[in-house]
Amino acid sequence: MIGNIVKKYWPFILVDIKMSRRIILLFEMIFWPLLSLASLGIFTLFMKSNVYVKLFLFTGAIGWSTIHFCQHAIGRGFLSEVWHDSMKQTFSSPITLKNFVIGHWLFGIIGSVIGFTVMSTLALVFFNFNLFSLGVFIPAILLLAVMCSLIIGITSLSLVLLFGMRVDFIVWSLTDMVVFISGVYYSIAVFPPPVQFISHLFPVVYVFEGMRAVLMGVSAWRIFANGFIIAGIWIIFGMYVISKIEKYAKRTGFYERYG
Amino acid sequence: MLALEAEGVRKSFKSYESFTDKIFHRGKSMEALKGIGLKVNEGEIFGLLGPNGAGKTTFMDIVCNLILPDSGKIKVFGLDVVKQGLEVRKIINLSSAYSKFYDELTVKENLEISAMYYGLKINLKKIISMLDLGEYEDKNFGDLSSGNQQKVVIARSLMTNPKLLLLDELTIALDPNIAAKIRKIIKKFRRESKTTVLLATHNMYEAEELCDRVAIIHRGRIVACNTVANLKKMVSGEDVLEIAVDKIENPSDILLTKFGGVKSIVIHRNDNSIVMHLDNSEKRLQDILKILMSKKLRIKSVKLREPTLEDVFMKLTGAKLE
Repeated sequence: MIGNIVKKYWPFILVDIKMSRRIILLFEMIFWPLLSLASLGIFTLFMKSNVYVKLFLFTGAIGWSTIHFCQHAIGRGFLSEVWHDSMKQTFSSPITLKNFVIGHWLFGIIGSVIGFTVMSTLALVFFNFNLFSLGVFIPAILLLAVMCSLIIGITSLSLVLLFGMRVDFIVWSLTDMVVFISGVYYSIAVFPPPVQFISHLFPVVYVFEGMRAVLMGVSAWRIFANGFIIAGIWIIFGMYVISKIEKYAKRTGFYERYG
Repeated sequence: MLALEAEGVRKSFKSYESFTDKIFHRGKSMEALKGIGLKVNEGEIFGLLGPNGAGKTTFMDIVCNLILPDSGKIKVFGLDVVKQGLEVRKIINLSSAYSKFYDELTVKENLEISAMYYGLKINLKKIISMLDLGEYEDKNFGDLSSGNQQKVVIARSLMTNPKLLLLDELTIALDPNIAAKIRKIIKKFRRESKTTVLLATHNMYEAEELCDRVAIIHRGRIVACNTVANLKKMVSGEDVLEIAVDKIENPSDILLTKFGGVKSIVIHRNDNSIVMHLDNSEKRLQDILKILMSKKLRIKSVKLREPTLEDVFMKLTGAKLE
């Protein structure tokens, strides 16, 4: 059984690993997130920020990079087929879009965990912000974060398959919309109640609320439980949507047009 | 058993001018396939011959389960391409001239990954040497010439030993020597593996050289289907007269003129040529040229030749294969 699972997803992970030889991918995984972390870190030093500000900025930057990289792995994996004119070759093979998405997502998880570790270490060394104090919650936070990445990845991919390559920017920009609604750098308590309600429908909120709750010493189990339930519902719905969208793309000739 | 059976396959696409048109489904519909029906026997090389835009690639993509038809049925070795798409894709392979690989990966890496998609462990040495790619196997795909890139695409389609091999414009944009070599490889592969081949091409020489049977496809319809020899019989006893002139100002005047023994006339305004199919060409030639000159046409060259598949195509459709 495990052998079959590995067989299903390994080719996509391998493509991404081999593509990682490209310097641009290392930039995406390590350099840009570090640059953003450094900017925020220096900002906190310059402003002589208190612990509370540091908490929001560092959890926001590190948590968001974790979600961002993993989601990009899915979008980049798909768009890469278009850019290389290899879509027809790939999708005329006995693979499904679902396996394709999960395979690239699994690579995204590897990258996200590396990115999270490197950024947290640097935050500790240079800015005295200890994200490792999350302790046993780290695996839960990472798991919830990458589940959110999968949801965002499926959504952006579905939009591309639905509307064609004219909306490929969605792959890069959808995450920015999520940053706004999910309170990545602030608490969603600042929103009016109806917007807060909408925010709570997105699992990303729970990643950041949970992280901050643990760091502030407040019980976070309920937050994470809610997050996993909502993320689970989104993923089940997303998997259903992706199989429908795959059929739609085949009906509209997406693979012929962009193959 | 039939390798491929298609019945009443129709497909139309919508094109949208703007994003709002797409959202409100206000697109223009274009019918790419208008009821295609054909049967391909196991082990044969079957050609789909037609110009660009005839519907060949759309049909191939439906067979590969990359496009879903609006109506009609296609079965590959008894498997329905819509209902059993994944099963069909396990036993076929596609080589499209318009497809490529990851530029940043080597030839070997690209082929290894493709084999993994099929869940196969393949001895790449054999396929790499078959296509003379040995010296390039560790080079990045993006660094190869277009000819060698095409060879890699073909290697990928042969390596899984498919029951049905789909070749879409096999040798387009290749120099004649490489094209001839690739045709040779395909012939050898078919001989050794007994694979059925469906070849979509607008190259009549390729169709004549490789195919056991050919279906001529034009504007989404199959207009004739037979062996190359039988198709040529449709214009047997006729010669083809190609006359190049300086300028054709009034084509309808030529088309309405009665030329003795001429069975059909096709005028190509893009290269100012007139193509006639006629009997007893030697006797008629002088009269035809006299009539044309009387219409103040300046004749640049005259060529008389045996009919080819292109002539069959022209006779059936009134269009050129390009």
